[in-house]
This record gives sequence, structure tokens and C-alpha cells, in this order.
Amino acid sequence: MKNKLNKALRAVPLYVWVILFTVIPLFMIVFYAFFKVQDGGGYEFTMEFIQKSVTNGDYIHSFLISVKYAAVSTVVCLIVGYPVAYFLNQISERIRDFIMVLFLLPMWMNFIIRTYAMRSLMEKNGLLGFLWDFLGIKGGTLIGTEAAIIIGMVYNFLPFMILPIYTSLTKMDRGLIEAAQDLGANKIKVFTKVLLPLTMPGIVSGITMVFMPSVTTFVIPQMLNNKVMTIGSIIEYKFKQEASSTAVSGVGAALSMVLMIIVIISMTFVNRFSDAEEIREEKEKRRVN
Amino acid sequence: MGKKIISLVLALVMCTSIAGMLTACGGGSEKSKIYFYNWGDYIGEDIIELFEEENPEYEVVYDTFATNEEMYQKIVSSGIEYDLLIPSDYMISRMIKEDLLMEIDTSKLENYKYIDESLTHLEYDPDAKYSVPYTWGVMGIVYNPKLVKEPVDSWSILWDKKYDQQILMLDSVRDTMGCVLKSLGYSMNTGDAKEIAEARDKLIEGKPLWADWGVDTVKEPIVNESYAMLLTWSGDAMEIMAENEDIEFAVPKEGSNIFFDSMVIPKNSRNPEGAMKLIDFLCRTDIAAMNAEYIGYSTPQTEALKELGDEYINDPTYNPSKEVIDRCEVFYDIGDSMDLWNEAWERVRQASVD
Repeated sequence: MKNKLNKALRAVPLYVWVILFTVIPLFMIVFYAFFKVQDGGGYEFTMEFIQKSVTNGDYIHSFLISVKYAAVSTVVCLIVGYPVAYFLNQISERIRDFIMVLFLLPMWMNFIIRTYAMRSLMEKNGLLGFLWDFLGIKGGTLIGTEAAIIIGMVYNFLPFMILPIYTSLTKMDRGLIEAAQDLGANKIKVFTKVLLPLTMPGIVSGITMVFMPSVTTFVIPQMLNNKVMTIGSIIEYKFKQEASSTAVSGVGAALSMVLMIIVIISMTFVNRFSDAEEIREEKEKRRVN
Repeated sequence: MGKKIISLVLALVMCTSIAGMLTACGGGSEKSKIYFYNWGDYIGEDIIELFEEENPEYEVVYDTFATNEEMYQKIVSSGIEYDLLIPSDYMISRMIKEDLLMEIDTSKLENYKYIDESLTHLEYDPDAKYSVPYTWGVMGIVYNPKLVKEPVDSWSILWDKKYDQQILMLDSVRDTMGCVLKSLGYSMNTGDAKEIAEARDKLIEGKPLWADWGVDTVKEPIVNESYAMLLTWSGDAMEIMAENEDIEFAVPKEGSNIFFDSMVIPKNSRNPEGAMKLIDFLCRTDIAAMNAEYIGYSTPQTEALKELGDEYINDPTYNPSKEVIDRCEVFYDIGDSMDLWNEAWERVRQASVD
């Protein structure tokens, strides 16, 4: 009895947190997306905002380019991050810890400041321009290009790809690689048949942790190339505009709700994929036994 | 440089507010509190302390906001009763319309006579009954003469193909669209759908030429000469020019925007006498000069300007001539027409560049 009470008490901070910062805000978003202020006061149900957010060609265009930037950044992060994680797993602990600190050091700084710094590096008269001069190349600025957005995203989110892959690598039994080699598997076979399947959970969570924030970020594109409006920028803009307008509209809330639904659907899809992977592993293990 | 000052001020504000709390707890005598709500980093460092020293019966409780809208929301929705606010022109006209402001009897202000008459009685407060100007400025183009060899005197230079990818655009619906409307010969306060659509199309036409859009991100690249031109406010231009002496500022001949941040007293103020006292103090020559020097925006106080010296008086960015002011227009609240502006602006910002 006492134990049960203790357990319940310990859960209180969690519940308070979740209710205050997840449940209530979610409820507010849904509310503002579906209800508008009536002229005489009070609220009435409306589908107007949802309709506006899914039929506006500009919003759809913005959503698609956001997905494009996020997808490219995720792929780049994976291509760069996987070898880094693998390398980290190979080297001695002392060097690894040192490299880890170097990796995480920039993350202790606020990411807006980091992105500001990226901007001045990419400027025509910044370090990039200096580099062009040094190499004798007549290169321009990166600011205002799609590449700037991708670089900004990769720079900010790369650690979120490396860390989960690295964790899944450390959990893996190295004997498995040696066994595969003993049984005559070449390097490619070892990678595709042993390494890749065993690190799949890490890859999947890395992809989720890079892709999701990249789709919705608005600070990075706004600072490095504010010519394009990503879906995150549009939502931010709508919320700001609605806050200053007398006629309260819920398009910002409706848009974020739609985006949230899309994110949840793709998350479940990705998770199912990694679950299936795990189940297959389990089965294989049992078969081996 | 700017950041250092901001952080210093933040630290100071924190210290003074903590010190304030301590003295409030320690001191037994009841002081009359003045709740003062101002823009962040928008008052000289010692001004409030000086006021409290000279007027020991008052205690100033200082609070800051970042946008007019944030301030407005807090006034209408929170229970806090402020005594003195410093909103911008269009917001003042909205607050007058909504009956949120108290009339100010300027005859009771000893130092009101120093406020430049040509800067009062403007459309946002036509009878100068509700507001006393605090700072002002104009919009224009900052440019680098090393990269722009011709004189900058017209908005049309922003659409000049010679400067492809050399121009930075201000990302602010009212200000940017306003200047474009002016370049087309229309009012900055128009509610006419056709005129707004024309401004929208003009912006979309120019978009491929402009290298980037922003507010805070675009100042530094002008300082380090990465770009040739930027549409901005005179106050920001002053800041840029302080860091790079070669940069210049011009107000186009088609006309531009003149803007104000003015002191007002909300209707629900519980200490209007204290607020009046503080307004009068801020209009006093020595205080206004000290304050103007710190803030960097132009001061409407004529004697204070003289005290700042020739360097300020003869600077066309800090002290635009009568002739420039005459071709400028002030923003006022345009009510629901703003929806048309927002719609047009969204189209502009989302139009693809390629």
C-alpha cells in the first residue's frame, strides 16, 4: 500500500509536466484550429481554417520544399554520420572521449548564436570569401542559396544522427563481425548482412531525430536564406500576424495541427519499420539458438 | 558592440530591479509607484535612477517589450495597470480608437515647449492630445558608395538590374510594403485593393534581384560590405554607420515613412500624476540629451538637439531636413484593411525566386 502511494507520488512531477507542456498546448492548438470567435462573443465551430491550410497552393509548395531540404539534410547527415560513429567505436576510449567532447562542445552554445556565426562565415566578405580569394577562385556568397539552408541544418543536427548510431554500435557484439569474416563474408557482405541490420534501430532513430526538426525549423532558413518560406516560417508568420490582428484567425494553429498529424503518421510508419527489423532480429536469434 | 551594450543593460536592469526589491522590503516609507513599460534597451542607463533621486516620493517599476503587439496584448489582456507606455505611431492611433488612452494636459508639462511643433499633431494623434513624442526617425536606403557609384535618390534603384544580388530587403510588412506604395505614388495607409495589389506585384517583380530578406541579420553584412544596399530605418542606419564610416543613408525623393515612438498614459493608470512627472522629466533638456545620445534615434526635443552639438545637428541621418520630413508620411491604424496588406505580403514572401 505504502509502496503504491510512493510510486504514485513519484509520478506527480511527470504528470504535471506533461499536462502543462504537452496536453494543454495540444488542446489549445486543436481548439484554435476548429473554433473561431463569434461576432457577439463566444466561439463557434468552423472548418474554415483547416480548409485554408490544406488548399492553399503556397502552403503546399512550402511544405514540399521543407520536406526536400529536410530529406537532403538527413541523407547528408547519414552519409557523414555513419562513418563517424563507426570510427568513434573503433578507437581507444581516451581519444574517443576527447573527440566526443569536441563534437558536443558547440552544442553547449545557443543554436541561434551558432547559426548567426554560420551566417557570417558564409558571407561574401566572411571566411568563405577569404577562402575564395586564397584559392584564387571567383566564388560568391552562400547566403541566399539552398546550399546554405542544407549546410545550416546538417551543422546543427549532425550530432543527433551520430549519437544513436554510435550507441547501437557499442551495443553490438564485435564477435559477430569476426564470425562473419571467418565464415568467408567479404567487407561489403559484412556491412550489409551484419553491421547494417544490427545498427538499424540507431539509424532509424537518427533519421527521426534529424528529419523531424529539419522539417519544422524556421530559424535556420530565416537566418541563412530568407528568400524561401519553409512551412515552419509560414506557421511562425501566421501566429505573429494573428497575434497583432484584431480578427483572430486560426490558420497558424490549423497549419501546425496538419503538420503534426503528418509527422505522427510518418513517425508511426518509421517506427513500424524499425519494430519489424527488431522482430526479425529476435526471430533470427531464436533460430540460431 | 550593440550586443555588449544590450547585455550590460540587461544586467543593470536585473541588478537595479533586485536592488529595488531589497530597498522596497527594507524601507518602511510607502513610495508612490510608477509602472513604466518601454521597448527593450530604449532608455539611458541612469535616467530612471536620476528621476528617483530627484523625486524621492516616486519609485519607478520598469518593464520592457519587444514589439508593439506584445505590449498591446499585455495591456488589454493582463491585469497589470501601467502608468506610462512608449508605443509607436500606428499603435497609438489604434489605442486612441479603442479608447485605451488618457488625455495628456500638455500645459501642465513645464518642458513641453521644447518639443518640436512640426513633429506633433500628426495623423496618428491629430490634436496631440494623447501622446508626447519620445524618439523619431525616417525610412530610407543605406548604401555603400564604393559599390553604388550613382546618387541614390529614388526607390527605383532597388529594382535596378545592375545591382542583382547586391540588395538586401527589409522583412517587415508595414514598412517594406509602405515604401513600395510610396514609390508608386500611393499613400502608406491605403486600404485600396488595387493599389495594394500593384505594390505586391512590384515586390514580386524585384524579388529575384534581392539577395536576402531580414531585420536583424541584414545589418552586419552591410557593415562588412558584402552587399551594396539595404532598406532600413534611420536609427539602424546610424548604428551601421557608426561601425563603417563609408556607408551613407538617403531618403528617396518619392517620399518615405516618418515614424515615432511616443509617451502615452493608459486610461486605467492608477498614478497619472507620477506618469506626468516622469514625462516632464524625460522632456527636460539635459535628460533628453543624455537619453538621445544613448538611444541613437532622433530626439524631438529642440534644445536637447542643440546640446548634442553640430555633429548631430548637421547629420542628415540623425536630423533630416524639413524638406525631407515634408515628403514623409506617418503610419496610422488602418483597421481591417491590414488583412489586405497581410495577404499581399504573404504572396510576396512565398513567391518562388526561380
